[in-house]
Amino acid sequence: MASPEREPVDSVEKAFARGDEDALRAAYLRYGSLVYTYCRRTLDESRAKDVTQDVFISAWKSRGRYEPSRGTLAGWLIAITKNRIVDNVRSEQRHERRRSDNDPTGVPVAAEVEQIGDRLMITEALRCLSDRARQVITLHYLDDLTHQQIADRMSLPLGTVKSDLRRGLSQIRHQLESAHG
Amino acid sequence: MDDMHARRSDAELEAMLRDLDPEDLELIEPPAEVWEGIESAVRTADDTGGTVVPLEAPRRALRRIVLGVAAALILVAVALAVTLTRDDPVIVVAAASLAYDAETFDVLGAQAQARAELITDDGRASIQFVDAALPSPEAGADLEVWLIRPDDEGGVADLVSLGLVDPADPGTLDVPAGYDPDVFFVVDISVEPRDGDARHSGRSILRGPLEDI
Repeated sequence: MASPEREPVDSVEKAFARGDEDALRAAYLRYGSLVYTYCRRTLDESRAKDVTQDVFISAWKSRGRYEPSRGTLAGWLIAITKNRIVDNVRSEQRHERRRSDNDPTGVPVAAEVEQIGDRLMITEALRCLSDRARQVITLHYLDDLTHQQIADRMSLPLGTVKSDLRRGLSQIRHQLESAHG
Repeated sequence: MDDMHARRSDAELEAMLRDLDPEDLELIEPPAEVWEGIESAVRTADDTGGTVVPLEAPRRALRRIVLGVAAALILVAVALAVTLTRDDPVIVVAAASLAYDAETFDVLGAQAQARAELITDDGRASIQFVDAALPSPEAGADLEVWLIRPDDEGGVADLVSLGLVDPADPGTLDVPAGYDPDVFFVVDISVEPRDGDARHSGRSILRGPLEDI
């Protein structure tokens, strides 16, 4: 997973809040794939495209209410996306019930949608880490390597591995809290 | 932020990380038409001063702007022609007389009034305001328009924001894709402090149900 070659997150967030000329484009370049991936993991392609558009349009219209000091733009957009997906799914379920008596089981509900959003916020947090810290986290939690095994494989002091893991967890927590603001 | 998510322990975070699959880390790039739709909608509807720059090269963008202005002029001409030649454009499908509730609404709405009309244009639904007299909120706050899906007891089961509205020129706001105005049929205007909280503030000033015309 490569780091996005885009403007620094901090400048994108502040420009968006100010309503700068290029800010919506910058925010879309930075977070379009995050929002669209969330939609695609819960909705079909057509509705995913609609909801992604809707999220950025309504976020831009309401940008005066986004304050970078209170949370990340990624978290704000993910929270808007979650609500739109849940509403979209519920609307579809209502139409489904009108069309037939079938219970549309298997369609994600709020808790499941939120869980998928949390996973994406972790992905976003990992994208924001340095390449080294991201690799340390992935090796430990996804590949189940011990601290010492990671230190050996990456030729790093054991203390560096531990501090990368600690900072990584802190960043992930920050992202998750932003998504529920 | 609700308490459940206020603070996660390291153990919870670690469990979430261990639960990830490698494919969770791969993001899907949206098709090009997604940005084109955003750009088009915001360029048309942006009434708050921001200018949206297209993703494409400047030269092509300039050509598109010129073509866009020309297209807009043609649309204005067509709209004028329709208005002059038809008594009723037959685009208003429902309307709501918005009312102030002295018991539960913000006092700012005491003298406010507005009529909201649901209009459709080529399958797209919008809310336009007519005969509106809306108050200006305090500094650091805006007026925001919502569509509410009421529950069986008349409470709020769900709601969606249509965006901020200028009290001096309320204009027209698009109904977001995926929201059925037959289901989200109550129009609400609220005072929203610029506090970063995207949820409804609870400070409604006007509200009323859309009724078919």
